[in-house]
Amino acid sequence: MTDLHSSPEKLIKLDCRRTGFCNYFQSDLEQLLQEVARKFPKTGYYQGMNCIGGFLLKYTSDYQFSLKVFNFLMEKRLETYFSDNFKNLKQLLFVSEKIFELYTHNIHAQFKSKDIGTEYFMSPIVLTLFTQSLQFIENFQLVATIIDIVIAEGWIGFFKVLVVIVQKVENKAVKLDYDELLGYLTKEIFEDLITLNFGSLKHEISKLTIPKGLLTGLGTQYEDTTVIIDNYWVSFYEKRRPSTFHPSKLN
Amino acid sequence: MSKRSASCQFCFRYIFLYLFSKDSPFNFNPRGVQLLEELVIAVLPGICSESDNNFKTICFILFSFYEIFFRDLEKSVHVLSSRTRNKSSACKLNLDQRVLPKMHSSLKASFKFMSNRQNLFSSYFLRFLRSITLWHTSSLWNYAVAFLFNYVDCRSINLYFSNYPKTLKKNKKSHLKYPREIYSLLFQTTNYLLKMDIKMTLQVFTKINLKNSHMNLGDFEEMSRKLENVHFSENIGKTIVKNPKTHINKIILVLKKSLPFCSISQEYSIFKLTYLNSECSKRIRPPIIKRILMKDRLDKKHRKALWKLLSEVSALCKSPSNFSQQRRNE
Repeated sequence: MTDLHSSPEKLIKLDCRRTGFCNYFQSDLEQLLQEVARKFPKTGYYQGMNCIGGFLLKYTSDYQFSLKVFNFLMEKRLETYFSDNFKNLKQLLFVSEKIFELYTHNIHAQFKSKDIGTEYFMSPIVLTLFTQSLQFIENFQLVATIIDIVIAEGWIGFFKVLVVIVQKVENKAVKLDYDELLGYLTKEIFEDLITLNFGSLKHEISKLTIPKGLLTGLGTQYEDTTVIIDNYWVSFYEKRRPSTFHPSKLN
Repeated sequence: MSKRSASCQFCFRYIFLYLFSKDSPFNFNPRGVQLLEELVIAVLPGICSESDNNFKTICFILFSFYEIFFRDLEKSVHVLSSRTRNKSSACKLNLDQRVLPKMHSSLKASFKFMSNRQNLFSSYFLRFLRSITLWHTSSLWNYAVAFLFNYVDCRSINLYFSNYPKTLKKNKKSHLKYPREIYSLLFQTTNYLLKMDIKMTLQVFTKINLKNSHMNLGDFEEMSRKLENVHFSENIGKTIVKNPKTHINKIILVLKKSLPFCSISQEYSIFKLTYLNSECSKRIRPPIIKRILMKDRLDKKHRKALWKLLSEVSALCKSPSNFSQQRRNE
């Protein structure tokens, strides 16, 4: 586990060494991540950016071009949820769990029965926009298609990709036991994505509708719930706080 | 009428208006006109065969093309000042000779279609004139006025439309059903935009009216006096030139709405057209790029080009001062 208090430069160096699929571009990747982190100080560097940067460098083989696209992704897509120390990440995970519940009911029920939180496998996918799958299998074409969708449709497109992929592997995943399912979600699912026919991922995405209103509604629901929970804890600590001295009580 | 043809109608009408009202350095950009030409050639026969509802579009396209390609401007402009003549000749277009025969056959079919609808023709002609008042650059006004002069003055051209199918022998009269409005527009254009002397303008128009007897002499003189008064009032400019910003907003809206019904080649054409105007470029290019990105089987080369374009447009939108530099490079 990386020390949380390490400087971003150290973290970047360490993570670049870990980005196995991008060995040839290690120094470029370091420079790219540092530049992006400097340009977006609110987000800075987080673990996962190395995979996105690595993918862009390897796919485009052009540093300046990768930098442009990365900046675009940060500005238009990633910064919304990941800035200010992942302030809105919880909301993103909440929304994605609810979408799972609505669109892939069977597998969601399976997760619940086995007490596996969706964030367990969702967080790395969300933070790296599927690029972490390249650590396990070199499916650049599929990842590029997913990036296309994220660029074109934003987070709604990303959720659609998630739903379509999970629907594809649903039948297999439902039959697995607890340990197998955990293993499957972290690694084997990405290998399966290659064997499954994903020639028309965009076509399948276009058939699926996730209304914008639903995302907004879920966002509001999350905020309302957070307010209720915060109020609960405030009143809880208020009650437990020892009564303070007040001069009027002397009389 | 299908959604597709309806959207094409809007699309073309607004592309024309857009071309006519775009940034000044690109007026009558041959590249843009050539693109339009190709678009219209591809779509015009389809529109003609569909239904009467497309009449308005045909009129618009035809008049625009008629004006751009089939007028001998030098002849018509001789009545205007020498300054005007120089400007108009500077705006001449290089017409692709391979395209011209195709255009002719399409236009012939459309003229035939139009000439069977005499009443509509007149009212659409007036609307067309009104739309001309949206154009706001002097070189464009030269074109517009030259066209109008020709139309009003030249009886043979007047008869061209009504005579087209030789079997149709009625209605040989002029089509000017609304001469008052048309003359009023002509006065305004020559006065306001061409800065022609009011007395000279009145002389020219009186001569034209006498020759063609569009209006009776008393009415014409009364109208001339009124127009002369308007000429010296302060608000004349405001009544003619509408706010081009609002106009571009409308164009962008319509183009965006048309996109779902366009083929890939049409989308690419619209995409290329957006290079002509900075405002349009900022607002139309990203949705088009996104739509193309969502197409199946995108190869690596195209994908990279689209990613690059999108990221560049996005960066440019943040710093508008870079736009002109980029356009120069392109």
